[in-house]
Order: sequence, then structure tokens, then C-alpha cells
Amino acid sequence: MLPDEGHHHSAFAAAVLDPERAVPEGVARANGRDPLEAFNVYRNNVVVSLAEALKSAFPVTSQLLGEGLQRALMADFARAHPPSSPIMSAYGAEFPHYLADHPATKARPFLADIARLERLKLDSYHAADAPVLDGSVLGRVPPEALAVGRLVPHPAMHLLSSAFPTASIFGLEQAAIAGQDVDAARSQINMATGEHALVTRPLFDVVVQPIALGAASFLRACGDGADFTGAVDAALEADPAFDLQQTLALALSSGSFSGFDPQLET
Amino acid sequence: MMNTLPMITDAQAGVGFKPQHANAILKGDHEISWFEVHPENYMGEGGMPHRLLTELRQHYGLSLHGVGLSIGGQTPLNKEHLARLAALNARYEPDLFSEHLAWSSHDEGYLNDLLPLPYTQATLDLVCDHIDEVQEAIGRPILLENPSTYVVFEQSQMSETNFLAAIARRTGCGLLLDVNNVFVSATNHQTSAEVYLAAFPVHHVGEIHLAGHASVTLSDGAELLIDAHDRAVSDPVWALYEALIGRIGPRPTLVEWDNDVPDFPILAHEAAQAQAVLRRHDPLLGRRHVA
Repeated sequence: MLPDEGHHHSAFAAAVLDPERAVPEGVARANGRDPLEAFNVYRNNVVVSLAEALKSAFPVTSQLLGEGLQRALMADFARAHPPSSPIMSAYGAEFPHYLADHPATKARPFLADIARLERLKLDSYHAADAPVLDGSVLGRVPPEALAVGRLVPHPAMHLLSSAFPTASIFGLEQAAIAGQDVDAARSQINMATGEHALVTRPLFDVVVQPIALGAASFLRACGDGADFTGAVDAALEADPAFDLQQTLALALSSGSFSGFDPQLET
Repeated sequence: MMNTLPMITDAQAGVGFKPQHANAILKGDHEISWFEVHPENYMGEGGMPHRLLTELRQHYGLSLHGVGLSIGGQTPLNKEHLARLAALNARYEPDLFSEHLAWSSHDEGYLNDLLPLPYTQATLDLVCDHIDEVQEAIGRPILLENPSTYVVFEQSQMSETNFLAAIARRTGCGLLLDVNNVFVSATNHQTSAEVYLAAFPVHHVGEIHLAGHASVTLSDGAELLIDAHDRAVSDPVWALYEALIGRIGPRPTLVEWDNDVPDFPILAHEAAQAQAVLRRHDPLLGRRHVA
């Protein structure tokens, strides 16, 4: 008895994602041969293409997992969490959470933060185009106007605060992928220190760098809509050693802002 | 307003645009006059992808080849996806816009592969409704591509060529004839690629695809071809293509090489072979657009 049309894709989709299920009724091969191996081509295609999309979205995480674990986890994740949208550059939003919970990676909790950082890097790469605020423009704003105005965050600017030295590990492993010898640098990483990572896109390539607590608090406050004074206050509260000049220089050169809004009252 | 963008003409061969080839392409030291991209790769809001595509579009003809619409699917078309496709079409003004006779989305989500459907009156009505919706949303006709298939369905009531002909007749869409898919499917189903091509409604063909395939031997000794797009076009596919062009005249032809992508000169060389076939059969002797 052949399945009713309405259920055809459901059975096919479920069977593609679950190797334990039987080949759906009605699926056949020429000359009455067994369709299983032919159907398995679709199973393989789906899981492999999803796993490869994950690998290219998470290259540093993949490097840290090692090939065997990376293959196993990404295939498992793909079967359990297929994408909800055809935009594959957005695929894998739940992957950091999956790593945080998975028995094979729970003991290395920094991996989830590395994966989060890679998602932010992708978000930055595809973010809307906007001008980058230039230091000379900001330098012409009188102090009293600066104080009540608002630095507008660039759409490609993102922050990640981590309990681990995530930005440093990320930079190291990127260098390793590029073929550099990082053994000495690896041994110097202190896993007990937290870090704040700034992700920006000053031109078209994404830059990831560790920044100080005060700088991260300042930028986060700007991102939350605080005016200049409010952002400075938030930074000083988080870190009394907050250095405004240094932070502004870093923020401007990294392309963290797209403009300055004087917020004039009308 | 005059359209001053480069356009694709019948007797031209193109290749898929890969970002790693951008510098080589934009240097201009080659004979390729048009490129094809997956619109799904250009659905971010900005950054490098759009910058490259904008630059490319200034100098070359453009074809958008969608993979994510799930036209053969039993779930409604994704409205956001349609809107994004319409926006890309308006922004880049491609000469050709195509999608697949396949499905990729169901309740489980988007499966990132081109999955097959049976050819019945019910699926014909569904596909035609979807194509009407797509053409309306994007504001232009699309080309529908014949699939590579590894299985067949006992429910099918008509041949794939009749199915495609009916779709083109009813919706006014064109067809994208993938000669490699014809060969792969025919081999897998132990039918004749020549017979398929003879039955194909060629008057609707607006574009041709050529690609490479892989081969596996199944446990019963049968050969199964896989539409891998990971190598050069095979000799039997070149032969089918030459015979086809000899019969119907030139059509814009794209060389697809999406996996294990070689350096640009190798890809351009494949296109040059297609270009030579097109020139051989062009009554106007390969009138070319100068970029």
C-alpha cells in the first residue's frame, strides 16, 4: 500500500536524518533492485554537506576538537539540529551550546566560547556596510558636546566576555592553522584568566583582538545606547584603571563606531 | 533607463564564481564573459560578499542559481527567502535566474541537499503553484533545472521530461538543462541519456549546465554515479552536449565545479571547451559581448 501523497516528504526527510529507519515506501531502484544503498547517497549527502558547513563556520573550534571528534560531533549535531533556514552562513547558532553540554567536550568549557567567538566573527563578516568613524572627525567635537553625544556602534562590532583566555587561544590557533609554530605560545596560556574579545570589520576582513575590561565595558555601554558620559561611567565602575584615551584610540582604529550622534535637543 | 550592465548571450560559456578566484577574474586576463552564483551566499547584509558581487556585476553577465527554495516541497515556500531573492534580483539585475526541480525543506528543517519527488498530477500542481508564486514574487520568469536522481518512485505517473514540459507550458517558466544530471540519472536508472534528451522540451531551454560526477560500485555490482561537481566534465557528457548543441543551436552554458575547486585557469579551460562547441554551431559565428 503506497503512502498518501501528503506524507511522502515526511517519511523521506525522517529517514534521511535517521539511519535506523527503513527506506520509505515507494522509493525504488531500476529493475527492482534494493534501493537502500542508493537512498544512503541522500543520507550521506545531507549529513556531509551540513557537517562541512559547520566545519567552515567553525574552523578554529574544528582545529581544537581534532579531526575524529570534529567529524563525529558535527555529524551528530547535523542530524539532531538541521538548519531552520537555507542561509547556511547562519547555521550553527546552537553549536556552542551543544559543545557546552556534550559529554565529550564538557571538560573543555572554553570550546563553547571559542565557538561563540567564531559565530560573532561570521556575523561581523556579513554585517551591514557602514562608514567607520574617523579619529579626526571625533577630535573636532568640543568636550561639552562629546559628553552628551553618543558614539554609534558599527554594525560589524561585537564583543565576547569569557571566563577563559578565548581571544588569545583563538589568535594562537588561527596562526597554527596558517602553519605557524605556536607550541611556545600555547604553553604560556593561562586558562584561569578571563578575557574580553573585540570583533570588528574595519575594511572587509574581520579582526579579533583581546581588550581590557574597561574598554569592553565602555564599548558594551555604547552598544546598549548609553551616551558618552554614561559609557565612561560604566567603564570606570567596572574597572577603576580604565584608560579613556587608549580605549578611544583602539576603538577608532579597529572600526568600532560608525558615527557620532550629537543628540541635540530639538 | 538604459541597462548598461553586461548581458549574457546564447553563444557564451560561463563558470561558477568562487571568491578565491576573485583577483584572477577581476584582472580580466581571460575569456569568461559571465558568472553564476548561489543567491543564498549573498543574503547577508553587507561586507565582502556583496562588495565582490557588485564589482563582478559591473564587468560580467550574471546568473543567480538558487538551491534553497524547495520548489518541489510539500511545505509552503519560505516568504522571507522569497523576499530576499526578490531583493537580490532587483539589486543585481541578473540575466538568468534558476532553481531546481527538487525539495530541501520539510518540518525537520532545511536539509541542504536536493531531494527527489515523484512525478504525479498532485506534485505537478504543487510545483506549478510554487513556480507561479516565485515568478510573481521575483517579478521575472525563472529556469527550472532537471535533477540528478539516485532513486525512482513507484508513485510516479509520468516521465520526468513530460513533467518538465507540463511545468514549462503551464507556468511560462523556462528550463535549465543539466546534461551531467541527464547522464547521471540515466546511468543510475539504466535508461538512455540520448532518449531523454530527444524527448526533452528543448524549445524551453534557456541555459545549460555541465559538471563532473563521481562513481561508486554498489554491493550488487551496479555502478551508481553521484552528482559530485568535484572534477572535470566527463567525455560522455561532452559528447551529449556537442550533439545537443548541434541539434538546437547555442545556449548559454555554465561549467559547474563546486567541490575540490581548482585554480581559475583550469576552470576557465573547461569553459573554453564549451565555448568552442558553441562557436562551432553558432550561425552568427560566436558573436561575443565585449566586457
